[in-house]
Amino acid sequence: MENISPPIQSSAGLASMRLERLNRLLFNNYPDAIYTIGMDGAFHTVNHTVCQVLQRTQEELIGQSFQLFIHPEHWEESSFYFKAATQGLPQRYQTVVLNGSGETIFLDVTNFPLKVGSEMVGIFGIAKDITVQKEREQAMLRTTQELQRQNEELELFRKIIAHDFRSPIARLLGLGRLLQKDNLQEKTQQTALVALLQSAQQLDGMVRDLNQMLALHHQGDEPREKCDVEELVQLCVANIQQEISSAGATITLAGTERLELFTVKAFLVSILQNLLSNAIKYRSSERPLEVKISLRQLGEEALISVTDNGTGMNLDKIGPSLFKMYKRFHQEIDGKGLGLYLVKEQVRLLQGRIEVASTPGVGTTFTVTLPMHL
Amino acid sequence: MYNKVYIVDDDEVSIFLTEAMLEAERFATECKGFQDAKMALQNLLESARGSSADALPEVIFLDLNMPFLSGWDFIDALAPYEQALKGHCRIYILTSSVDEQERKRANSNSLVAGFLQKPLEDECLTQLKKSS
Repeated sequence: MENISPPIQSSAGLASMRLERLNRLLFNNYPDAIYTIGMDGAFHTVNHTVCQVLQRTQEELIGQSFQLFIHPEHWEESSFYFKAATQGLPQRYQTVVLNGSGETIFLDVTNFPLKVGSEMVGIFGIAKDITVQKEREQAMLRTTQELQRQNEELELFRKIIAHDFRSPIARLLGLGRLLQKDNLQEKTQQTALVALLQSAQQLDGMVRDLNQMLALHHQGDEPREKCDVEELVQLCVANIQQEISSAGATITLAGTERLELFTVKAFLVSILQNLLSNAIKYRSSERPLEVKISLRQLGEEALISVTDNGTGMNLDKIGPSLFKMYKRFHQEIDGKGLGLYLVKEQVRLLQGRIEVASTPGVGTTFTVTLPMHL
Repeated sequence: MYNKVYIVDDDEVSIFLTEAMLEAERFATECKGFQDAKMALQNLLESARGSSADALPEVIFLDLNMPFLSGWDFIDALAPYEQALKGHCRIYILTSSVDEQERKRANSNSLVAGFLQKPLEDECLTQLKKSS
């Protein structure tokens, strides 16, 4: 530390000597990083804190370009700020450097132009390590975003309860009251009884769905495991064999490529099963249902597409509502409309995306893209 | 007793239920249920324009949450014919929703005569009959 030269050579004399010593003391022991950089961008002097922050010795730093230690993403702006300071304009900004272990350090930098007489010789600067604050800020931002998302969900649940759950309840109440009347025709009474049971079943299904959906949000650290997609498709087909048989559907697996993902098995099964159920639900009455599932790996991503020859839909009309809760787009088909919402949520949790292409009267293809390794 | 009533609701059971209640209360001579809101709208527009021999219904029970054409879309489509409908045809929202926003929206719409919550109740029907 003894060989650090003060930034400005001062004239002799007792008063200035004392000030010079004071300056040097301050320079060396100041808790923030203090440095001077020449016009060529090379460190001229650095204090002890600079060495600590960058995890380098003075020898490693002096004479080296400061840019070597800046995070590559900040090269451009830091050279801009450096240039501005050497043109006589003090600068204050935040930047990121890499220390000797390759860790990123956030700095709050103040650079002043450094002149000797009227000649610009470089810059003089102070940098405060603000990594802890930055990390706290980022954690706070993540928490805020998560809270926002949860609030939106809460609003969604409020709507589900206000609109969707009220619907079968209102029916049950109405049917109950109707059945209390003593002047009912037998046929009306029979219809009412059947409808009463149906409504109760629907409500039951909705409660189960909602429960499943809420459970989805409580999971955060589900175990990831190796999943052979072909095996899982077979599992899904077995799970809904009854639906498949009664619809007279044929399900084929295209692409012989073995696709093995490292992901959350339960979600992947649920995604596949919901897409299959969806295809069965919206099959065309004019032709037997054929569902083709194709699997493909594209770099670090897995593409799973489910194509049907069902009723199809006009996406221009449906647009963003497709994956919303309790929306259904086909008359005369009993859809609770939660399936695709669940699919979308699960795909999101697996950090993937889902796309849909459809032609009315021809069929629909859902393509799910998932990271090979979650 | 009214002559003609329309029930517009995508839910079959709801139509059945409203019809049965209207029948039990001897509310109207003719009750027409529409599961397809577009069809109901088409009929209404033709009657309003006078291009059909069909008379306008005196009362419409209109559901809000329907696919393709919501109750609000339905009302918006009727807005240009407000003068033709006034005094001849009263529209009541009949919804299972308990959302206050929907009620407020209904109250502020001049085409809407009232906001009713499912299930339709006897007393409510008696009230509506009185105002016929």
